[in-house]
Amino acid sequence: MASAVTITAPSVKHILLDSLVVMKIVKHVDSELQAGISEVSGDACAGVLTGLVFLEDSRLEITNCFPTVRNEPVLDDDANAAQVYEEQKQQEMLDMLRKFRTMNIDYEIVGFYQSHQFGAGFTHDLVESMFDYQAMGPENVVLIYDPIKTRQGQLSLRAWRLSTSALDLASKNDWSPELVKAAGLTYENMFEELPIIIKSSYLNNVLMSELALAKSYSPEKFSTRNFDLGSKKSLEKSVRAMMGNVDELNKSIQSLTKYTMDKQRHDNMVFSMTQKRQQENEARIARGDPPVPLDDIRKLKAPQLQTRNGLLDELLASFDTNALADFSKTVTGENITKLFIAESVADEKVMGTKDRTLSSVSTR
Amino acid sequence: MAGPEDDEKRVVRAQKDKKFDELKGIIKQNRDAKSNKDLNKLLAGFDSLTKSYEKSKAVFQRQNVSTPRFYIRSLVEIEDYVNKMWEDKEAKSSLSKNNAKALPALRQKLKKYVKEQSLADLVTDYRANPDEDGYETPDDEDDDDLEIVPEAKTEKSPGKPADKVLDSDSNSDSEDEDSSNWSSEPDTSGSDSDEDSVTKMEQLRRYFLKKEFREDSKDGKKEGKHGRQEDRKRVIRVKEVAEDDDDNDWTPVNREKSLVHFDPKEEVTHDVMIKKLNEVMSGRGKRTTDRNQHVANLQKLLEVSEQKELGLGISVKITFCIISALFELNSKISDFMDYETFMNTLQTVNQLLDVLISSENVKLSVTYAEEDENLKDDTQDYRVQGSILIAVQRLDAELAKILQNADCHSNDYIEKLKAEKDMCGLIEKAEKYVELRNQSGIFDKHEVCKVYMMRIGHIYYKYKDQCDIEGDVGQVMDYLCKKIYALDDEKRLRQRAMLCHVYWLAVHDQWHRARDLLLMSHMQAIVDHSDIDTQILYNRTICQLGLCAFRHGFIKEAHQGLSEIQNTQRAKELLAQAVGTRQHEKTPEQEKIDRSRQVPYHMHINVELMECVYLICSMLLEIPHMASCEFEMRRRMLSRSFHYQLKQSEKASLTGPPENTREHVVAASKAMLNGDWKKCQDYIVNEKMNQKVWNLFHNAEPVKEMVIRRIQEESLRTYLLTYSTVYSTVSLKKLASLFELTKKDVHSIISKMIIQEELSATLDEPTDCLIMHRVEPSRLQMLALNLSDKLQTLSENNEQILEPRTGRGGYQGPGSWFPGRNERQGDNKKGSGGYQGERRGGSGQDGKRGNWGSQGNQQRRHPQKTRAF
Repeated sequence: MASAVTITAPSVKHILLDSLVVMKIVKHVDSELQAGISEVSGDACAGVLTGLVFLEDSRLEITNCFPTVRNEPVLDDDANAAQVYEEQKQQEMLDMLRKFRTMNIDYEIVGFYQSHQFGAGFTHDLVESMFDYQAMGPENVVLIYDPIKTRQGQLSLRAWRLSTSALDLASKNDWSPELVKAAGLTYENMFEELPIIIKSSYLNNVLMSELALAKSYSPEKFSTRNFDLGSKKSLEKSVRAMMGNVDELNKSIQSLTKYTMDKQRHDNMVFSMTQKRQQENEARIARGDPPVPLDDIRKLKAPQLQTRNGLLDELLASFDTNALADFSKTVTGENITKLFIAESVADEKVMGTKDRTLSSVSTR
Repeated sequence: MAGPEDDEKRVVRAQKDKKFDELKGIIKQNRDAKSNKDLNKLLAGFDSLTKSYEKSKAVFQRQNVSTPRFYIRSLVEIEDYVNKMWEDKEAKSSLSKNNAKALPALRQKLKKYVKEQSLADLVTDYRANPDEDGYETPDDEDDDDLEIVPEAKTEKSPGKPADKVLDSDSNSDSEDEDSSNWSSEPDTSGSDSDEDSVTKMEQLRRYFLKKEFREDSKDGKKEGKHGRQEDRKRVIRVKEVAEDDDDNDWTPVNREKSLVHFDPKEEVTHDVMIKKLNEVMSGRGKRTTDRNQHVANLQKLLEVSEQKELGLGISVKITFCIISALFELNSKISDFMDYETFMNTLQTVNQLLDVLISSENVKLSVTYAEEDENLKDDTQDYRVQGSILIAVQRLDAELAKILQNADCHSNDYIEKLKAEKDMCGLIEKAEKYVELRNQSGIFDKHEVCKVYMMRIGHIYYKYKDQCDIEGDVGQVMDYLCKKIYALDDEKRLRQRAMLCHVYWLAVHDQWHRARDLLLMSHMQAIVDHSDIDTQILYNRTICQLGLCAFRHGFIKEAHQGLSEIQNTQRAKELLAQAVGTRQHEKTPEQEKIDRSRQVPYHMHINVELMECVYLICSMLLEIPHMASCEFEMRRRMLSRSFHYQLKQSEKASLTGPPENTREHVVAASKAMLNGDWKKCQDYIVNEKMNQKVWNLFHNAEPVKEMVIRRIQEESLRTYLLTYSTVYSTVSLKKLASLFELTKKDVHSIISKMIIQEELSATLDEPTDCLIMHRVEPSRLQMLALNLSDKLQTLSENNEQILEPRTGRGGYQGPGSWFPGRNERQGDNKKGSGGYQGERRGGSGQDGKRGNWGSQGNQQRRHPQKTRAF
């Protein structure tokens, strides 16, 4: 696949997201999360986004989506069955698209969505599918939905795509340190985030304003629920995940260190050998003998980085850690703010300083 | 015949027989070829015959067998045949072309071979004295018979089936023939038809009889080059002279000429005796000398000397020679002595010792030179060179070897172990002798020390009532050790005595004395540099000390003592109770040495018991520790093997009821971790464990009580540590009833925990409650701490990438900083962890706070031992 792909820079600058899509994604993911299916299958909820590209506004409109079938656990280790299943899945997707078409819905695939806790689920597989989609259409994106944050009351949907340099490397499927360095790729510029604008229909907006005006709902807005910290479990989880990632990073850093050392030694050796050979060749030419080719030196095996995907894993781990750290930061920031608000709002007599520390520490 | 002789024979036969069979097979083929006049085949047969003979020569040489007669015979036969053919023109002409070619070739080869191998004498010998005609024309004879005959000559194998079908008629009949055969020999002095002597040889002789019975004339055979028969006869003669028919243990079977024969006319004087003795002794150690015969000769001399009343000097000298000869029965030092031989030697040494003790005028000492010896002059003291003490020592070593090589689970071992008692008696006697004669200056100081050491070596591992010494064993031990401390100027024996003393004290529950003695000796520091035997003894002592500490309820100390050995996973090896299986790279010699170091079974320390005690100690220490740092990801382990066991049981998909002691302890640990002390106790103290562990202690009941008590205490601690977050207050009364402890105990335990900052709480006296302070970090905080730890290493690793070249050794930045950080952490923890001092000691840092011994040194010893042992 690699060489056939021509990489064209995407022209899209921002994304217009239909509220229908948001609802559908939330519904899909949350229902699955509720049922605990994703825990069982160990697979993220995913679906396909359809829409159209507005080139003049350099914007991508995502107008609809549908979930893809979840991988069924392959009971018997039959490679054939897996293949059949894959075909079925493909078929179903095409079927769905056809139905969209007959129903006069946008049927152009513009990307896919996945749900990941804390918005940090960047794996090797995800990069591969992103590459596939982006090779299909340069404007394609992935929407990462964070169900946890949504549960805490904030909708979290982010749109990502692989940067061109990352795309380039992915097409070569070579993430060796040299190439990564040459491409100037870091975890920060590996993915590009696109701003999302959620567009609701007018009717919707009217309804919302109606609801906001309606008296019966107003007390809800200021209920104490908003002061609920309720983030302990998720913070713990994110810290745990971060630790896993850091471990990973540690490992790959160690292998990278080793690699750099080996590489240096190797380079030195090759250099000295080449020099020696060149001197020898000069002497030979002076004598009139044919020079000895340098092939054997070039053939010397260069050291290999002892990780599976070169630096890709490292980049992904960094990116994930970043996402997790972002999450933790925002959550803790909010929590602190809430605490302060609570302190000021509450009666001074009841809420002493001591109790504040207490509540921050032991909210079991 | 004596036992060892038989054994030797059997071994010999296997190799020799094979070779013989090979040769005989070829000879038979040759014979067939001859009868078929197939000269070509004969030539080939001859070639293969000489070749295989060449190959087997080495074997024969090793077995002291000269060229077998049948081989010579076959050579002669071939030669004769070839010559006959050569002469016989008519026959020659009638040969086929091939055969005609082969004939001169064979003739040439034969001549050359005989010349080259310098077999000419043998051949002429044989020709002068050929076997009967039957051999010459083998076609007439049964082939089987032919094969038996040569075998008989060279081997005298007693086990042939044919000799069982003999009747007594032929027996007596051929006896006469025997004597007539031998009568031609020049120095025959007695008739061997003496019934007594014959019976001894019956078995052997029958064999010849049978053969003689079958064949007509056997003169030639009887005079076979080995002349074993003659030897036998001489032996018999010797016996007649000595009038000693009973002692046939040492019947020498050898072709060596008997040396012990006094001319009856000559009077046996001291000088003659000494001369004879020297003559006999000159054969000592030579390859040709049969060792058994050597011993017999000496015994003969002793008898003669006693008969002639030549005085004690001579008899002591000869007895001493006998003792050394007995020791030399085995040529290899690694081989162990035969048990009977050992008992024999023991008796002899004992007798000699009796003589030495009873008669003051005999002095046996290594300090005398050979010229100084006074063996005959009874007006002065008899002076004999030699050392009885060394003999005793050697005997002791032999006993150890015998026990090492016996199957320790058989009755045989118990039988042999009985000799140990005799040995103790002997050593005691030797000690008495030493003390009796120490003034006369005949002993080397070193020797004397060795005697004391031997005594200690037989006492130190036994419990009081096991050793049969009158009076207080402790005093005896004390006395012996002090003797050595005073006398020995080399350090080794002193060290060993000290260790034995510590061991003894540990066995006898004198924990404080044992510990103090060990600490005073500084053995931990120097044991690295001592020999391996001492290291083994040290290991044994440490283990025993650990067990002692456990019996006294010093769990920490016990754990410390035992962990040194138990944590290595090769406890048995370190205690020299088994040879390691893992070291494949060991050479056979090394393995042999290792084997020779093994401790005899009766001195073993029960490794299973040790492991169990170790695990119980680990449990009592580790479980509260685990509870206190539940959230720390990087747990600091006190006992690696204990954690390993725990993890193993966690891994198991199905945990059944515990079966072995290890599983019991693991199950108990789990119960304790849950705060269920009753269950824990049930796992540790029950029927099964009684049988396997507790009954092995001589004071089982107090130990059990101690363990249960400790379990209660530690369970309480674990409970408090684990569930402190759940409680805001706990009533002491409740705790006391929960763990069946008195309120006072609970109070003291909790106070201790509070002082050691393991538990953040206060005791409220008026309400009798424990009020918990909520200061433990939450799980999230724990995790965050861990994360920051990880990030720190990450950043360090990152720095390494920046300067990879210096990262290997020269990079001083983080490298030197790192241990500093560790140190800091350790210091921070100092107050909180009750066992930190121990842990740090155990991890190889300077164990200033080690309780009895600088752990650092002990730890460092292991790698060295891995090499050495």
